[in-house]
Amino acid sequence: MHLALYGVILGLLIGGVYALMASGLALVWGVMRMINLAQAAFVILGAYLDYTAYTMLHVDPFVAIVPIAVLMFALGVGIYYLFFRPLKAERQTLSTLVSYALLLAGVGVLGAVYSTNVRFISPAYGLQSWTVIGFQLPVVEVYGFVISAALVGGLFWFLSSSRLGRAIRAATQNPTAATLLGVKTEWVGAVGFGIGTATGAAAGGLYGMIYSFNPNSSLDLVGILLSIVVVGGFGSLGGAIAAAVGLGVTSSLVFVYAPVWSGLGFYGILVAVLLFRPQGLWGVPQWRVE
Amino acid sequence: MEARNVTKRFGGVAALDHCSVEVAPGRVTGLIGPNGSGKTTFFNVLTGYLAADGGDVFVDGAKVARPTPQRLYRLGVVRTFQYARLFPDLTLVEILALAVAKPFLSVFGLRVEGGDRERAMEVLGRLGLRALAARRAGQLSYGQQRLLEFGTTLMAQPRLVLLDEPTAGVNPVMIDILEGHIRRLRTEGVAFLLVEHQLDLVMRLCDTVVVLGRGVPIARGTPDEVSQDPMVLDAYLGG
Amino acid sequence: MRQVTGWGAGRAVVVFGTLLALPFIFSQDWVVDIAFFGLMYAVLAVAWNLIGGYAGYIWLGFITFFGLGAYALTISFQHVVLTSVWSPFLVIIPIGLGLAALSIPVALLLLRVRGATFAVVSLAVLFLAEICASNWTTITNGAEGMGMPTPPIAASLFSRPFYLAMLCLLAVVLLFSWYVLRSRLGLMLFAIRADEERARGLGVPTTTIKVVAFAASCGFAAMAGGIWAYYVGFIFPIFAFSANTMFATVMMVYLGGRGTLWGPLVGALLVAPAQEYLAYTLGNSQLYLIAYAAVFLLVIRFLPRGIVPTVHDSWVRRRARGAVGGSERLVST
Repeated sequence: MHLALYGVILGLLIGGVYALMASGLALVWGVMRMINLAQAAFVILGAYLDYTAYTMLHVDPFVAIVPIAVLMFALGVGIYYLFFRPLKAERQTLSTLVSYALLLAGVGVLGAVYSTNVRFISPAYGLQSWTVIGFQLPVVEVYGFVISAALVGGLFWFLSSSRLGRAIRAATQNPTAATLLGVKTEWVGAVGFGIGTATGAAAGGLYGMIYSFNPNSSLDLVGILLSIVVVGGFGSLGGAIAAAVGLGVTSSLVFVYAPVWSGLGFYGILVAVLLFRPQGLWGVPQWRVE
Repeated sequence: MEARNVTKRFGGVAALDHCSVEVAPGRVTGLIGPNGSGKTTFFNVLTGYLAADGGDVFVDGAKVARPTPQRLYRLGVVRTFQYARLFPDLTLVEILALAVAKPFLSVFGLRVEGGDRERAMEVLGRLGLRALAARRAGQLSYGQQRLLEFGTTLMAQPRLVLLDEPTAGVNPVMIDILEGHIRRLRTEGVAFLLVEHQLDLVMRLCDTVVVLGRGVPIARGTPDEVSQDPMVLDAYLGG
Repeated sequence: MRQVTGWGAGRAVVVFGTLLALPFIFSQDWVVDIAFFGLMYAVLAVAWNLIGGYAGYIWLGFITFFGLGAYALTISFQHVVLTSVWSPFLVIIPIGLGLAALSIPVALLLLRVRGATFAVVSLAVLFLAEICASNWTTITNGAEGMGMPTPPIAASLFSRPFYLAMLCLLAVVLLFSWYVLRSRLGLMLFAIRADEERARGLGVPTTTIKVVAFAASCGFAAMAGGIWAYYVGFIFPIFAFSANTMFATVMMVYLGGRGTLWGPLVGALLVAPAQEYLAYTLGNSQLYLIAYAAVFLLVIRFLPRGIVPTVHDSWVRRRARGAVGGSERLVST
């Protein structure tokens, strides 16, 4: 029982980081109606940048997340204008395939620059933990959770309160109407994609302190992120967050009892959701007649 | 064909509330009502595109269990769409051949069988589109696409045709062609359910008119009766 | 319109004649080896085109069945000593049929969603399969991989029987693809790609039709996987269920022209040998991943319809300008 509870707690903590990654995906789905497979590569790129900042520039890895997020925002905007904006016909499927191309290119570039050796961001406090009523809580995971929660909260605030955020939400819900009302949807798309990229990279920095990684970790993450957005329901930010935490807890519990299969926890839930509620737990059906 | 007590909710709002409409063979039934009164929703339920929350659809007095578009199509219930929805990369003959109801195993047969091609050419001839038979649908004008859309219903040997605003965006000459075909098929015993905003066409063509207001039929009768009905005027002007 | 024109049959004879003669003209094993991978990708691309091109369903779990075919063959020959090089090729046929049948429930599950959602969910199938193969050690021997028995054949001619087997499979899958294109099945698949809801309204049994295309593509992928496993002799989960192979297949179809008969084959025969040749000369590096992505992005940007339709259209236009009269459509789109 104690072990199971411990599993739940650790799952919650890591689920927070997944939620940060997935919130970027949900946002990009909202503005572009596209699953950005490259998000996984952005996460690992964020982890590598954080690693570089820590090992070469000796910046604290938690602090380094801030400039990395800014940098990755710019990269995201650039990628949007370069690769996604020109797409015309069959935008939805083509942009998914373009993001697949970017994912593989990202794995390739990271492999060429950093080699495929496994890395780990290990600051001095990396192995410390607090003991709270008998549970050993790793410092890094607690910080990671807190930062993730703060960033996701900030994203919510941005979308609901700021002028730009509301423009993004308007474009998400009804692109045509938003255009008529003077929202520049293309620009909104770029900003949304940039923010999605930045949140992914920020989550990557945290991920790299919790798990070891190499360029191929991107491919493992793809499956996890996909499961999260499908289970949560496309475009539902709250759904993605709930699904991320839920799946974090599930896989952590599976890990406690059957370590080898922990990766499968996600997929089991994915299959169940597809069977019984294909639009996702918090999503709305995508196909209506006219 | 009959729809009995059909109810459909979106969220908490009832788009259709215990809506019952009966359509008899060889008659044209008009379905009118202000925007948002549930006409298109009713169409979608009748053709199996939307699952109703309550109520049943009957064809020939037999209840259709779990209606899907394909199942209703086999029963002779066919429809057109409000916007020309055709397959831009397929040729006219191919689209019409596709609309022929055939046993499943025919899918392993030829793309367009000789008999289907002849029938398609005949229908195209009737619609005045014969010269364009080998063109792709995407190359047609809007009005021609609407005619082709109507043509697909002729291929299916239908018993009930549901027309969703067939004249929207179509020039008067083509409306005349369309009207002629509806009249001819009516004499052959085909039933029509017509959603139409152009009221003079409805008055000219329909035997019965049903007026929908907020998801329930508020009046029904001959075109003359309905046009005198104060509730109808109220629904149109007030609703 | 889409009859067997003398042109079409002639083209098939020329292409397959050349491919058949190739291992006897260039008998160096490395040439045949490169050509083998060209054919393998051609099979995969043509098979993927059945569901991805004709029906427009971006089925990114396709390579799962390639991997399953590879494992099915390897597992069934675990404790066998081969006396003939040919016998495993016969086993590939029931494996293909069996896995095509197995793909039907998978199809029914996945086809509950459409569009981009279908694409990404189906990609999850591939990752799921890779995890299973890596962890289910009692059956697959996990990440350590498992081997096929060595066939009794001279090393200098090693590639040749595999090349010929793959060529046979390519002929079969291309013939099947041609058959689909000229059948009512193909017409319905095209209608589904253009507008699935409208197709339903015309009585098209959409689910059944999609499942047929899906299962056929999976069956062919499984057969290609079997031949591949036998050829490379030793398989690992990460290569049998590779996201790179998956992407390469899709990219080749888009390059050549999706939804066309010859496009996928053209795309595969252009890219796959180049990729293998570069791997030989440069050594296997991360660079080819970047090259894949770059080729795909360039195709999407500058040749959105792919090579075959673009070339064909410009050819038709030139012919029309030359006033040769009615431009019949020789390449089926």
